Amino acid sequence: MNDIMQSVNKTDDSLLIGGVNLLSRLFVGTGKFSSHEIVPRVLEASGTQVVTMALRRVDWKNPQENILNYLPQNTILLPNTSGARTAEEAVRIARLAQSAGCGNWVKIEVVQDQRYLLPDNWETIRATEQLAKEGFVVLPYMSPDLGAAKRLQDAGAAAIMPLGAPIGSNRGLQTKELIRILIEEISLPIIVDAGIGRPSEAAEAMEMGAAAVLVNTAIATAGDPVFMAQAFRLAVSAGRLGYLAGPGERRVAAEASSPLTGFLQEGN
Amino acid sequence: MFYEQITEWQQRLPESSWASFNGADVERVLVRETLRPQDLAILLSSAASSYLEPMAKKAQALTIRHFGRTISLFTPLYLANFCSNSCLYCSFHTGNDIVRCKLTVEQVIQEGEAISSTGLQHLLLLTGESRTQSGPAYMEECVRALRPMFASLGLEVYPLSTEEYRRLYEAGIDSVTLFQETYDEITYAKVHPAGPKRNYHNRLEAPDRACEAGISSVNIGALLGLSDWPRDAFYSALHADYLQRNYPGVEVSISVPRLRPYAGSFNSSATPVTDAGLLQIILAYRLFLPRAGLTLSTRESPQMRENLLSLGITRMSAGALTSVGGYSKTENVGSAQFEIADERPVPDVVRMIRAKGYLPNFCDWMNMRERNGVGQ
Amino acid sequence: MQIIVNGEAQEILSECTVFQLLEDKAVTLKTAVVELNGKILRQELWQSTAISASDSLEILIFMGGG
Repeated sequence: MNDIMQSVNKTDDSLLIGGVNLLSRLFVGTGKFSSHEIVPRVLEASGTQVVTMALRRVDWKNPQENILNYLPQNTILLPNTSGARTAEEAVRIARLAQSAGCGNWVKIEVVQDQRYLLPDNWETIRATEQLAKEGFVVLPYMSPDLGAAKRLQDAGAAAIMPLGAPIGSNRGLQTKELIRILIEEISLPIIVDAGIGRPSEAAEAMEMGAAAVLVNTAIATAGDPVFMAQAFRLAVSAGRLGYLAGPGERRVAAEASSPLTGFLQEGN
Repeated sequence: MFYEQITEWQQRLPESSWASFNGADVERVLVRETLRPQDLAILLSSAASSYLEPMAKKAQALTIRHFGRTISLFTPLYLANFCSNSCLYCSFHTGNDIVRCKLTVEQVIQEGEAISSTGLQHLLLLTGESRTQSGPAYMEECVRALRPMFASLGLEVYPLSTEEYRRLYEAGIDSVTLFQETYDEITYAKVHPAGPKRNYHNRLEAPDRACEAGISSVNIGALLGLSDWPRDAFYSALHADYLQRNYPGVEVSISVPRLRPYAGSFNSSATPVTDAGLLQIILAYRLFLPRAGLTLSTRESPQMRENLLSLGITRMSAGALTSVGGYSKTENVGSAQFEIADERPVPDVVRMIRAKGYLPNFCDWMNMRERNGVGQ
Repeated sequence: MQIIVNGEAQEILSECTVFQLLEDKAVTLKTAVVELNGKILRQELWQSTAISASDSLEILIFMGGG
């Protein structure tokens, strides 16, 4: 087989982000779980290496244990800047998260729209510029707009996280075509975040060429989150393998006549 | 810059890769929605030469989807043929004994009126490379004189600076055409032994400067047949892709000029481009760049133009002359740059296009900058 | 003396370090985040930083989130 057709070595298909070679292309969020106790089993079943969490004020009246206590060792922490409405707030939250000493990855999530929780691309770009300058590994959550993605790329983002559908809607890839364009045009990893409601939708995103997916609601609110985590693990792997294998061999139909090119003469 | 992509792909696709492509590779490419550079190479390789019919089907459908059944028309006007280069393949070679001349602004206006009376609204202005005889100031004068008569003016001259492109844009130029001739540096050096055109990189980066200056559309391409054509076609298309990605506001097109007889005695050592080869190039361009314009000049015969027009082409010249002047009865008629194969006047070309079920489009542009009271 | 913790007024005994305050509140210390008067206070400094009257503190921990 031609060398150029084997451009991907299937046995070493890791995803390189922020200097780390990730073997799992499923990122998992820790929000909306009914209890923290189930989280370790869910994460283990998912095989994930990157987990998101939020930074919140300690509530003395209902003291909650730090979610970090429930994460497996060696998990890469991806704190999000949820709660931020401006770039400045996102930058502040990122710096706070970093000061806790758990790494320098950050998911920028800046939302001014409280109805649909759609991210504000403009503030996200500004936050990315600042945090990339400060040495963070920045993964911005954004509304899939090619122009915004290019600016995020220029600003130093480590990956782009376009939403598949509004957060929590579990509607699947409503923004499919726009994500396809990002995958085509942006050379950074495209990680579909938000809106993936079913394992098949995760597989679909991976088949399209997404680098990874982030799933939270679909796992946390499933009847059996551990089973669902496992299902997503399998779906992401299946989708990725399908992508690497290439589209099926549809035969180009043989033609008896050449209506369009028959004008060419032999030996011209 | 684009040069980095040339060196990258020279390494990624050595001769052995090109030679190894087979029919199965072509078939895999033909079912893809979007093509990558390696797919483009497969379509330009000899393996694809037996797949022209399926490529044509797909290219025709794609072109109709993105451009409709329309062909835009334009014609070239050579303003001057003084030239300080020694391009081996060109009549204007400084050493060639041809009639050299340059149109005065009055003659330019006369030519413009003659052309405009045929209904053509897109005019391409050309000069040889001579800063003393046909420098940017002279070009600007001609542009200003012609602007009221035409919807769109293009410029096909030697590489200019960003500032010069910007001034010409202000004067009324919407598009810039510049052919790299060949992307192969060795051949390039061989066929451009003397003169400013020797500078390969200056020419390669000129479209970038034009885009930065605000030009709305650029037209590039290799002179097919100067060097190994699959490679030159490959880099031409990659160059167009590079310009599309880096200057998203600019409309990018590719031309497919094939080496033609001209005054001189240059014989290219590369394999000539057959009709089938030219078709293959056009189809590969279309499949790789669904939204790029594809321009066919009057270098090609009426039969070829008629057959190619529905297979990816979006723009054609009509009623063209490659001599200096000549459209009106002006005395100043300098020697032609190359022989034209389709000498039909505009109405005949229009008839041919209509007969194929296509709409000839005279005006595809509206100049939003100040115009001096044009009557349409 | 009066200070502000997480936006709410609090009364504390004088002569308290940040570290002692957190201990008192039974906050899991390892990965809490503290901002004192708008500036991040690194963990190494918790034991040595005393809280003064009308100081404003933000004490944050990581919670579940997407």
